[in-house]
Amino acid sequence: MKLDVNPPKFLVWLLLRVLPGYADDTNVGDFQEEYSQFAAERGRLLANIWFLFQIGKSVPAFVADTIRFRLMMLKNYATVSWRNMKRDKTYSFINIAGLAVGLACCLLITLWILDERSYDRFHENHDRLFRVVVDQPSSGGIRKIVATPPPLGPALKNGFPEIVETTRLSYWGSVPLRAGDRSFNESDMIVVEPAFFDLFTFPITRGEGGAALNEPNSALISERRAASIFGNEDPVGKTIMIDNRFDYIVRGVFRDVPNNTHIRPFDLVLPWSHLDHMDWYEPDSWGTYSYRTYVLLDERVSIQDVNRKISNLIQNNSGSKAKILLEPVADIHLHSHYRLSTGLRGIVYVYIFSVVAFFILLIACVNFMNLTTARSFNRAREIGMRKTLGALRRHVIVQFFGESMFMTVYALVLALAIVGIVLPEFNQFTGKQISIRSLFDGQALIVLVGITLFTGCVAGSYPALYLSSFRPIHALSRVLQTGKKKSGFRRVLVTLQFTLSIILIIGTLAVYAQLDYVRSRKIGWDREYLIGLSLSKEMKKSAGILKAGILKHPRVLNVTAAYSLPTNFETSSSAVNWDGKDPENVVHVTGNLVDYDFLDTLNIEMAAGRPFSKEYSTDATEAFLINETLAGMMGTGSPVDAKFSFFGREGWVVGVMKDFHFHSLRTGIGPLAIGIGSDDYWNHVLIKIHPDDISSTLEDLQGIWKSVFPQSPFVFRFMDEQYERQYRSEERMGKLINAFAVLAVFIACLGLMGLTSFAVEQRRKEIGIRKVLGAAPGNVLWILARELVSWVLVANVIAWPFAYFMVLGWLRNFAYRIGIGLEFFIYSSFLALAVAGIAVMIQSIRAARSNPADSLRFE
Amino acid sequence: MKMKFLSRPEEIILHAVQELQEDAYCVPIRKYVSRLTGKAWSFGAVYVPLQRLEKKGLLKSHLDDPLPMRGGKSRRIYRITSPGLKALAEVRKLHDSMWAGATNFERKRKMSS
Repeated sequence: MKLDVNPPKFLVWLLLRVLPGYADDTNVGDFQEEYSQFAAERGRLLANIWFLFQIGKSVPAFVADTIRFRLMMLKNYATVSWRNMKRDKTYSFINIAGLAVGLACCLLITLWILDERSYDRFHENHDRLFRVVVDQPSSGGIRKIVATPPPLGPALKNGFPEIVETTRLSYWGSVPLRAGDRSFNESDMIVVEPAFFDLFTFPITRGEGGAALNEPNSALISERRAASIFGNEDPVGKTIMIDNRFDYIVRGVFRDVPNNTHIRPFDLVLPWSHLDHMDWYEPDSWGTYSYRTYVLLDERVSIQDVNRKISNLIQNNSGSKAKILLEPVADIHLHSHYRLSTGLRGIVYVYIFSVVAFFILLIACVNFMNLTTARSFNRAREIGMRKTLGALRRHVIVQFFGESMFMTVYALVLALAIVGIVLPEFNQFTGKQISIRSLFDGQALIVLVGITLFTGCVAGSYPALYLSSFRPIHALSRVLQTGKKKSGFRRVLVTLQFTLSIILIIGTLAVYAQLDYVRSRKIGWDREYLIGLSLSKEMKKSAGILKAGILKHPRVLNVTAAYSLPTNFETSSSAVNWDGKDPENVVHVTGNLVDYDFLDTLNIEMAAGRPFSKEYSTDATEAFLINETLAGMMGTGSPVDAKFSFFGREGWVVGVMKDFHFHSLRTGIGPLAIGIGSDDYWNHVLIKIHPDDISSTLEDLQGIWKSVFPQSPFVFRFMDEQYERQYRSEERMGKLINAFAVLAVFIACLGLMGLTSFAVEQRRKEIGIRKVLGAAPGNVLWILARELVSWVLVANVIAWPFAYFMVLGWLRNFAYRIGIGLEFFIYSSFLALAVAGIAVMIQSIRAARSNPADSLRFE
Repeated sequence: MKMKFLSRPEEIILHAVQELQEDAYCVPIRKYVSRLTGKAWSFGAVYVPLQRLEKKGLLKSHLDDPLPMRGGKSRRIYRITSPGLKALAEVRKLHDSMWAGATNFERKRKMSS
């Protein structure tokens, strides 16, 4: 009989793990002996099973024991950390408050980023929903536009089986609306095809959905507009009058359009047939780029295939070189290069804010590490005692990680409270509708837990590893020194904090300087005291009467009219020609049709030739003014009197205007040609008023308006505000970054204050001796501040190159931008130094003024 | 009389060690008590009383040489001490005197059978 059969090593190991504390080698030997006998009698398999069964028997007791002792330790850890917190309240407050502010910033930014990322993802079909965009080759490279010709939608739907549904969309902005005898002015309207509500998920709450749009004269209306027009009555079946001309019957109500969609919020949806009432609508024109087209793809097809197939659709129908392709709707908000108004892609801000959030969190963590280690020697004896009583290094590590996790959770609760308080302001500020509840669902919750764990681990890492390394003998005999060598790491941490803060300060300064530059830049036309009024189709006929009426007013300096506002010339075309133009060279020229006094009213200067004049009868239909950019493109010699055709007009250039900005400053100045338009084209009236007594001038203007258009409300806008509105997103971002930078510096200073007070505490005797030997308070102050100043200086040097490249990257998004001057760096350094200095002063001034007798008494 | 009562498992195990003499280590003890009581004793049920008895001074133990069939581990051999023997005797005395006058029990048993 073979008796020396041993059980598998793994099982023996397992047995050793679960056996209670009193068990020793001989016990395991007993098990093995029985195992051998068992194996000899009944085979190894059964023996193994028996052995496993024996292990199983020990498990319940093992688990119970473990939990009991762990809980006891946990209770002890919690008690000790609570006592420590209570013992030094300032320190605990600084520690937790700093962490809480950092976490709160981080959570706010997380909410913002999640909201940004949620754009257009609520549509049920968002993964196969696409927008048709156009790449139009032109002289200045490829123009990327989202407007498409009207026949494109039907052509896509009929010609390609991969495309399940399409809808065209025409955005109308605000239209006058009447119900009964009441009129409303602020209803943003879109005109779409019935499939619109199948492609996009805008739930219908009452009445019919998209199907209603098959009928002419049916309209859908948003809940909030229905409530403001009809109150509690059922809007379905009610008649509304649009544009003072068209009667529509409300067939359905849709839920209010959320903010997180790329389609600007709309309150009113009309059927595509509405466009048939418009004399300018050319359903078959492949040359008019005015409508957006959306498609729903079949699930089984790949987007690349479809893109390849449809790419030349416009080219085949019109001979233009434009290529079309599909862009996922869910990517529009953050990733699209195709925009009506060119701005920064949203993803850039998402990156910027992610970095800011990370920086702030890091600063807060560093704070925690710093303060905890700085106070480590108060805890040294505790650790020594624990180790003497049998704690291993890993126990101490677990203890300190646990403690920092505790603190993080406290801070998290505080942070959530802060977020709750600040969120309404934050929403107003960013123009979002985020609720704090969104922190607790899905992705956000994962991020929340992730941030907490990350903070707890990072913040606890250094204290845990550092404190656990104490030798008990040193810790207990008080030779432990937190002297120069030990504080090396803390110095690195403080420097890191200030480096991050300084980067943020420089970034903020640069953003502000750029915005200021944009605002104050000479844009080539005068936007001060300039008022814009918009006219509907109906009103244009009476525009002449309105103009004449307004011009009579004594405080009105000038009045003009134009097709589009000077802040954004919307129309452009490549159907342009001049003498000697290379037919191969496609030039996309922006155009505008204006009244004779346009240049005078806007104060646009001429570079050559003459302005429009009523003295020349042909000016009304044949004269063009071009800008210097276009003149340069036209080549050598003076372009004045050159033959020129544009807008379907044949004529010649009568003058060259100095370049001025007719888009936002993010884009450069392109070629521009303007002509005289009759009142058919006057969408806007521009009024230059005297700076005195603006409010009464406005009242008078309203009176004049009402006498001409008694039906329509008087809505005016100041062009300088209009101009600045284009930079609102930058301005908001600037303010946000500013706020977060201030907070980052604040947190860093909190840390610095804590650290200084600690250093002062440790050097009390030294200060006392220095004072006895004749040091003045100023000297003492300098001794305390000296080290700190050098840290901040080092931080500056490190921060500069990083900040330089980050700012440079951001500024690249602007066509007209500031240079990054040395002054940013110097300002920010001064700022950082001053703030840090104040923080240190507050803490050390008492020490510097203290009576040395107090500190030296106990020797 | 100042006497510490032994628990029933302690009593049985003490008895087993006494009976097994030189061979009193865990494995045979477990076999012996299992056979005696007619039910399987777990290892734990043997270790704990053994250790408690040793702590009370009723048993003492030593390690012998390692054996291959035990995975190279020694046996812990227990021997009864003189207080152990005394305790065992006392238990027996207690049992005898307890049962000597147990008239009610006998009558009841007869009635119920």
